[in-house]
Amino acid sequence: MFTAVLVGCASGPDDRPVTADYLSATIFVPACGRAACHSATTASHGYPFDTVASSNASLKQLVTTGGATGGNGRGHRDLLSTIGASSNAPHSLMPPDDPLPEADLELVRRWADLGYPGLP
Amino acid sequence: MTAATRLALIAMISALAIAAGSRVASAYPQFQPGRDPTCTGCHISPAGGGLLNENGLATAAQDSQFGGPPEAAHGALAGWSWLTLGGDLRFAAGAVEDHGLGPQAFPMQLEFAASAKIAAGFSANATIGATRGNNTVSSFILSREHYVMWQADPDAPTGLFVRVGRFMPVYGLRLVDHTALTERYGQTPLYGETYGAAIEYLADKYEVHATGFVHDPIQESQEHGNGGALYAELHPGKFAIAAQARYANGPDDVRTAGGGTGKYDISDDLVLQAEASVIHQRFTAGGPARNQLVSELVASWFPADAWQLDVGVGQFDEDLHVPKVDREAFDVDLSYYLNAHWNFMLLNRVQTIDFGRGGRSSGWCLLQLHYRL
Repeated sequence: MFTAVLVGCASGPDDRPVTADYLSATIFVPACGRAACHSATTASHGYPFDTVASSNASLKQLVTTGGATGGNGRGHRDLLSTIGASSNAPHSLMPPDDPLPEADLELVRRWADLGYPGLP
Repeated sequence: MTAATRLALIAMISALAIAAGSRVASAYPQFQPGRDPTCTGCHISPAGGGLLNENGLATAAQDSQFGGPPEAAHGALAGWSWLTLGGDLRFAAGAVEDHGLGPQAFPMQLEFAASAKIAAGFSANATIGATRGNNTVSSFILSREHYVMWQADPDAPTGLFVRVGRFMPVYGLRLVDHTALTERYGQTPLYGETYGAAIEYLADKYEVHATGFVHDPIQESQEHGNGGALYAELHPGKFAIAAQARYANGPDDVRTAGGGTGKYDISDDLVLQAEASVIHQRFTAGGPARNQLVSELVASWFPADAWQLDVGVGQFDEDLHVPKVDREAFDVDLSYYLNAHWNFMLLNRVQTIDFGRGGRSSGWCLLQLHYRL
């Protein structure tokens, strides 16, 4: 019923800002920073995503060092593949039970292509 | 056959197979607006959930297959007029569609609860439980709720209630399933409790809950903002309708939400529930604000004594301005209440993004074991 109302609500181009703050606030915090996942206390694999600041810091660590999963240039690929934004996606994608929409993944890809603007 | 189709088939076949073995009996009046319209008909809290009162305990025994003593630990932790104890243990196992269908098994809840009458009309209420922490012992322990409640008429399920402490501000249907999109995205996520003060008035035909809250500076909460929530419901008979509003101002965003809920008691064994909210979100760091829409429609059927079938459709659009980011969740959940303490739930979901056109679909088929202490 409600979904039917939505059809046609959004049909224009995706003109959302491609900045670290906006992506953290609109995509990474709500999708990754949930309780018992990448919240402040749990911070699974050492990455908190529960606030814009912590999300930006975790993204910075991921894209520059590869974080806990790699290092030395693997970061870029790890971030994109972990969320399913690249073709070499691992078996387990994040978020595990609630995948990101392709429109969000495309926004992250554009952000990566631009060199991750706005990261601290 | 796609993964989503496989999961849908698993859900349907499982539900039908188990339902086929059930027998005809009574319904669940505690869920029905026409019979027990307020949460305090069965729960100690005016918001529902958690510890059961005397009527709730009797209902838990009566509506299960084999009944038994419904009090805490089958009566071993009961008998005090001033103290009620309880708790919940949940474990789930099954298959989750995550870039390929794979097995999953995990604990869901280990939590104890207590309510103590401390003075005329006053009670102290608290929960303590385990959560997924990090490398410190304290991070694995969480008290979701701890509050003092004053009730104008302690012997009645209705009247004026005042609560001060840590609890979830009243908003929405308050479904037990935290993965329901209206729970996850509708401003009442798992571990979204805050500190606050609530004034709540419950009557036979209506109820009002007004809560002012601040975020928890010590324990983790999913709510980082401060604000308020208002929930007002009319339940004159076989149906209920409510209006709701919520405001939260946090360090990263400001959210203003509004919407409503509805419940319709179609018959003694069939109940419909619905919720819809629009959320306007502004961001501290700048960028355009966004509007979100989240909704849920659940039909609950009680086909036989101790059996309950819930069929739900949920929807969440994270940004109404952006195409193909709306999520849909299709749930078929079957519950069996073995006795006053044990129940089993077969949880099945297929979740899509823009009906499969906006991204990867997902889902699960899980058997949940629930032991109510």
